[in-house]
Amino acid sequence: MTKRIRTLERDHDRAVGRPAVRHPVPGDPPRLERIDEVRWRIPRDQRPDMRVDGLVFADDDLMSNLRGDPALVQVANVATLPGIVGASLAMPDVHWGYGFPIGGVAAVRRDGGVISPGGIGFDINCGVRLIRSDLTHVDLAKHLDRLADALFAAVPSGVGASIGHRLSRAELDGVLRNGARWAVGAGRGWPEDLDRTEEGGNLEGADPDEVSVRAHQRGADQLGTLGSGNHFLELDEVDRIYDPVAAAALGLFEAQVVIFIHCGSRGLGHQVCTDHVAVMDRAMGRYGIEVPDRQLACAPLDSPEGRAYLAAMAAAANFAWANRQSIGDAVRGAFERVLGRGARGLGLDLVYDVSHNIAKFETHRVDGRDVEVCVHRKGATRAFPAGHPDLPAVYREVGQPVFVPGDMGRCSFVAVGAEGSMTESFGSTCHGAGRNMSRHAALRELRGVDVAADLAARGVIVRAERHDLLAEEASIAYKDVTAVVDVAERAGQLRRVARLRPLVVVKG
Amino acid sequence: MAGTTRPRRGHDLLPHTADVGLGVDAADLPGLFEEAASALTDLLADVAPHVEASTWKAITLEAHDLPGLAYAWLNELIALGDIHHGAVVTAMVERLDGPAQDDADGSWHLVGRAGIRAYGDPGVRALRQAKSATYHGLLVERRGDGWTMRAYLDV
Repeated sequence: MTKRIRTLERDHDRAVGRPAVRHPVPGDPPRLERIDEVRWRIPRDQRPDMRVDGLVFADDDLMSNLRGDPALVQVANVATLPGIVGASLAMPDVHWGYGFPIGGVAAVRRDGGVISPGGIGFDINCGVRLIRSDLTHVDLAKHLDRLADALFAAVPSGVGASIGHRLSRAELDGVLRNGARWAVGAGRGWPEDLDRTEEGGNLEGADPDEVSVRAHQRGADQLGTLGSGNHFLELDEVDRIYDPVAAAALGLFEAQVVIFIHCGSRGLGHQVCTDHVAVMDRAMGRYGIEVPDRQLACAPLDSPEGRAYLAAMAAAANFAWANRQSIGDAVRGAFERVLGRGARGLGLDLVYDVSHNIAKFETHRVDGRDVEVCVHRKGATRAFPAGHPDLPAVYREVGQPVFVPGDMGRCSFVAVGAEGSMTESFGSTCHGAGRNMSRHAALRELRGVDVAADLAARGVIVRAERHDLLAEEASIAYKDVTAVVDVAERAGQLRRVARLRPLVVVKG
Repeated sequence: MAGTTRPRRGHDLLPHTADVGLGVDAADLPGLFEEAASALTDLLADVAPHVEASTWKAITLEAHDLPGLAYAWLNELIALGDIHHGAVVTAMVERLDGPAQDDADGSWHLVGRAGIRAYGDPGVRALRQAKSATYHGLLVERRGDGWTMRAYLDV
C-alpha cells in the first residue's frame, strides 16, 4: 500500500510557499467576561450582527484550552441567527465544529426563527443507548473475549459497514416514518424499549418524500450498522455510584456490566443534511438572511425549505433510532449466544436512548413567558429534570437519564437532568468529553504506540477494523470527561448517578 | 509551458480539532477539482498504484458559485463511495464552466466521471468515513497563476 498524502499535518500555506489563507472561522476571537466559576459571557455588544450573548460553561482549565479556539468564534456566529433567544450556548465539552461548534445549543422562536441543518449536524440523531444487565464484571470475566468477538461479528462496523442486503423502498420508508417502532415491529427488540427511548424512538412529522433518492441509496443497506469514527459499542463496569436512589431507578448497581451504543443515522442522515444545507444556502438570499459562515445556512422555520428540512430531519432521526434499536437487538443476541441464556433472564433492559444531534420543538421560559422554541442541539444532550411532563413515567421522579461517554481508556458517566438545564440551557447539557486534539495530531503523538496493546494492559479489550487508526480516538485526543461532567454538575445541568469504566470497546 | 511558473499540483491535509481539512492546488479549475478528488481518496482509503476502477459513474453538477460546485463535487464523490462501498480511484472533470460575464444569476456546471473500486478488492483498503464536505471555511479562489481550494470535511 502506498500513502500518497505528502504530509499528515503541517501548515498548508507554508507548505506551498504562499501567503496565509485567511482563518477558516471569520472574525476575531471574542471578548469574554467571567460570570462565575463555570460561566463566561460573550457580550453581544462586540459585534453588530450578534442578536444575543454567548454563554460558555467552563472552568479555568477547560477555558484555558478554549482560548484562541475557533469554537468561541463559532459561539458568537451562532448568536447571529434570526430568531435566536436567550443566548448562544456552549456546553462544557464544546470544541471547534463546522458552522455551529460541537457542544453548541441554540433556541429560536417558532415564530420568526430559522432552522439551520448545520446546527443539528450531518449525523442526524447521533446518540447514545445504554443497556443494563443483571451481570457483574466477576460473572463475565471469563467470557469477555468471546463477548468481544461476538459483538464485533454481530454488529457490522467500520467504513462501508453493511447488513449485506438492501431494504426495499417500502421497508425503508417504514423505517423513516416509524423509527424504533418499525424495528420493534420487525422483531428487533422489546415493546418496552420504546418507553425508554427519547420521543418513543419516533419523531413526529417525518416525510420520506423529503429524503432524496441518494439518501435512500446510502441508507438502504446500513440499518443496524455502527459506522466508524468516534462511534463505538462498549461493555462497561459500573465502578462508582454517586446517587443510589437514581441508580436504583435506572437499574444500576456497583460492579454491574452495562452496554453503551453510540452511533447515528449513517449515510442516510449524512445525505439529508448535505442536501438541505445546499438548498438553504441558495434560499437564504430570498429571505434576506446573511450568516457569517455558510455552514450556518438556514431558512425560516415556516418556509417551504424549513418545513422540508424538518420533515427530512425527522425521517433521518427515525432511521437513527431504528438503527440503535437494531444494534441493541443484535447485542442481546450476542449475549444469548455466548452465555447460553435468554436476554430477559440476563436483565438486558434498555435504560434509555438519547439523541445529541437534533432539533426539537419544546416549551421553555423566555423573558418570563413560556414560549415554544426550536432547540438546536449539536453535540448536546437533552437533560430534562425530575417532574418534566415529557419524561416517561419510570423516570419522572429522578429526571431524564443523561449519558456522557468519555474515551476508550478512562471513564464515562451516567447522570440525570437537573433544574439548571431548564433555566439556562434550554434543557440541555454536554454529550461527551469533547476532542482537544485533531486526529492527525493524535496519530503523530502516538506514532509507534500500539494503542490496543496499551488498552489491553489496562484491562480494556479492543476490537477494531483498523488498529492502526485507534490513535485517532485515543484518550490523549479527548478532554478529561470528569472535568466536563464536573462543570455541567456545578452549573446545575445534571446530577451524577454513576461512573463507568470500559471493559470491551468495539470500534469501526 | 516552458518558462511559465505554475503552482505545483498537489494537496495536503489541514488540521481541525474534530474533523479534517483538505488544501488543494492546481494550475486550472478542472485540475483543481480532480486534485481535490485525489485528496479525498487519500484521506479515506489506501489505494495501491495502478488500481483501476471497476465501476464508472457519470457526474453532472450545477451550483450558483464555485465553492458551491466544490461542495457538490466532493459530496458526490463521498456519496458514490458510500453507496458502492469503495474508493473513488479515478475522477475526471470533462467540462467545468461558469456563467457568462453578463449573467449575474448564472450557474456553474461540471460534467465528469468517477471510477470506483470496492473496498476489499486487491490494493484497496478503507481508512475513514467522511460524512460530508462542509461549507465551513470552504474557498475556491485564484492564487497567482493557479487555483487553490480549502474544504473541511465532517469525518
